[in-house]
Amino acid sequence: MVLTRTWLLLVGLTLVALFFGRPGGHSSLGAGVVALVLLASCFKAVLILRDFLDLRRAGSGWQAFFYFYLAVIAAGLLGAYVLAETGAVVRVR
Amino acid sequence: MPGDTDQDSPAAVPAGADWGPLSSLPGNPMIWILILGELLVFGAFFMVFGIERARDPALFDSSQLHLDRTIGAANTLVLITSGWLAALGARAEASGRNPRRLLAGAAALGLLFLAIKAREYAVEIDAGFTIETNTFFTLYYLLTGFHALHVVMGVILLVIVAWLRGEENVETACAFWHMVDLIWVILYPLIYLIR
Repeated sequence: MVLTRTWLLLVGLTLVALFFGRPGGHSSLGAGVVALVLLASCFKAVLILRDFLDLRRAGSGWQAFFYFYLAVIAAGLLGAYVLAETGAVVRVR
Repeated sequence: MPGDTDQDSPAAVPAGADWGPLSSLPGNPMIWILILGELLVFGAFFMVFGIERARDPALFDSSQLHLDRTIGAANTLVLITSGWLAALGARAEASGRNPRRLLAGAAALGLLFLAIKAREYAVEIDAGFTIETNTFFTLYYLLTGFHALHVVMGVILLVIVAWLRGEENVETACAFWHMVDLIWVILYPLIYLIR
């Protein structure tokens, strides 16, 4: 059944993100792992939209809109992370 | 023309109202307006969090160490399992079966999510980390608190449609619940994992 398969995928992706996020770790994850964690999270969001919210019944334009929006958010967060790693953002007090 | 009488009457509510592009979305178009608005608001919050972290990554990373990442992941599992039950409930209603147990299960897991979140807040506040501690904790409490309010609203909606059944009612409440679920799957790694 599609919904149960989706739920199992969501559980698996949550555990993958937790594994790569090293719950007991203190050190920086690095841009590669952060990209992987964000990718897993966006894929989870796509699964929820597509299968639970039934977006697959909507037109392809709506699907493209939502998936593009998720990609923009993920890219923005990854970009902010990379900027923080490089110290390119000046802290204002 | 005689057939146009209902459409010409100012009091008439057209049965098949034209919602434009929203008409192609599943369920009540009004819930999609809400979903779009909420996703835009939370998207803006996420970007604020990312930018604030970029301005002071050391503060954010040291503050994040005081959160329990495993409890956060457990709450993610609780919420996606609740979403699964809600989706099964909507499917059951659409096929003429009684969805009450599934919707009640989804709502109960929503309450479990809130109980775990409340316990987390209590531990953090007892340790001295409040909304005024620093920028990280201000954003942490605002984002997770705002999300928790949506969980409360979602649980109320699930309970209401478990009693006031009907395909559109159940589909609409479940759509709201999935939106709450969707926001958390982005919020969790952003606040708890990324460092």
